[in-house]
Amino acid sequence: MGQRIVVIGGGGGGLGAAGGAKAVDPGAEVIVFTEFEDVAYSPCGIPFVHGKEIPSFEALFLADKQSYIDAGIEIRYNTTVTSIDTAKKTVQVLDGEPVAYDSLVIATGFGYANPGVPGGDLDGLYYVKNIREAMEWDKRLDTVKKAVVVEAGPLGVEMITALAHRGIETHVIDPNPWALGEVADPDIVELVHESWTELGVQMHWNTTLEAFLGDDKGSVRGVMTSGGEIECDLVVVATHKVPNNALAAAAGLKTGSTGGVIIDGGMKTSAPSVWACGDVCEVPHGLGGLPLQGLTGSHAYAQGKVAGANAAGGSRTYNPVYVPWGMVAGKWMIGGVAFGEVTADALGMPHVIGIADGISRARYYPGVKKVRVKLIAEPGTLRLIGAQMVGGEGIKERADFLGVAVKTGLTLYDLATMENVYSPPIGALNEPIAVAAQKGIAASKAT
Amino acid sequence: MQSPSAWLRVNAQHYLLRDSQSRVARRRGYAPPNTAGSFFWTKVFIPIYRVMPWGLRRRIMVAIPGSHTKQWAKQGLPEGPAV
Repeated sequence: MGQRIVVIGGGGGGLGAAGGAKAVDPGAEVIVFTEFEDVAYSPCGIPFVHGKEIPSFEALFLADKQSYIDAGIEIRYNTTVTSIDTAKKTVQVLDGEPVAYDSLVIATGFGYANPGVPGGDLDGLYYVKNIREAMEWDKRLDTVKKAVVVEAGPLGVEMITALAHRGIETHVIDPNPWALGEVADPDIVELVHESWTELGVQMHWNTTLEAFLGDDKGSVRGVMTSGGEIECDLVVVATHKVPNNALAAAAGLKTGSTGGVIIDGGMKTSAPSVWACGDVCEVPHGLGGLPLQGLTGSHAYAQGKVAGANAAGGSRTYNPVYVPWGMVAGKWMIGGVAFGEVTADALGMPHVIGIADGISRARYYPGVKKVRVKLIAEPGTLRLIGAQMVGGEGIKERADFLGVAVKTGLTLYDLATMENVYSPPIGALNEPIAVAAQKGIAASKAT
Repeated sequence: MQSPSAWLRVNAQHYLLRDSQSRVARRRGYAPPNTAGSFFWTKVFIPIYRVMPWGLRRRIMVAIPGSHTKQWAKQGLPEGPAV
């Protein structure tokens, strides 16, 4: 038997690590511990089953259990790891013997920040994460008339839209002044708010949660907020993603200012023979290096591949991130990359801005949609440091492209003279990115 | 139990974001949020942070322990012609 590589966590990061390890060392014994009954599904798809855009949860499963057996990866389901001994190189599982490892990958993921208010043990508080629980909640949603979503972060935004699509009277409470308030700019989310209003969503911004209110049966009947009481049958708790770092911290691994496990570009932690990946760790931003935690499933999977490969003896590297992002919010797509106006301003980064409103197709072509692009650049060089967008289509592709533009140091001058696809069904004569860049150049000359 | 660096990050991020949201909202014609809060963070930290030059702010941020202080690949464009 070859070396034994143990992976804790069966999400995107953990399974990426298992696959990465097997790719480098096919003879390695790879064991994945997960406390759940399933792996290899897309939790990111759950809101869209709730919203009835996807017909069933079965569609979210990416592989069956046999495929991991065939790949030589041993997955121990419903198994909780309770501690790690980095000196003895063992992990302890609940009700079991210690399991020795040659290399360990920690991929314990995230949890939702505890709201820290009374009533947290009531029935009817839904933390969207596990697919089996989501199946049960989905049946319950058929009986829900009124729901409250706590915080409009990325998951909250998707759940607000999903519940509204489902015909449930949906309220959102959030301490920020607008949706995605810690990431997005107000002129970008304005259209999203308008579409939520059309869908009947009631928005309570600048509003903090003070308590979950229960009935005499122990079920939630509402929430108390800084703006008063809101009655409901269900609360979706979509607070910040925080790293599930208890195991790592108890084992003595160093954590950073985000609470995430500190790693290097090879996903190696501060402990010998231990790597980490996904939401449990923090990675530096490509511009300025500020550590970030709680990114996307695609980040977790890619990090897992690197961590697993290196745990098996490889030498792969993961790069600092620029975080292109995007999602459907109400009737719009919204997205961006790196810094927006609010985040650049919060850090005190000097910047110039170019904004343009354009269209997604030729103006005469059926289905044409509005597209707003906002570019943020460094003064002087006009090097792109971020972008935000909202529109009816084409946002994801622009976010991906602008992610590469930021990463490779393109400037507003480059973007202002970019060539663009022009074809009436898929692209307009003027690309909004180029127009926004031209406006940014003009704004920089005016200051 | 939060580490000192996590405590600093959480509070600094919260108050700097709220201050920024307020200023961007005013600039773009939206209702600003309430920026009331801890005296130290709103009346001491924010004003001092805002007058510091960007280079100094950046040096302070990267001095805080974290993954960014470890070895990461340097990125750059390939040299020479593509074809």
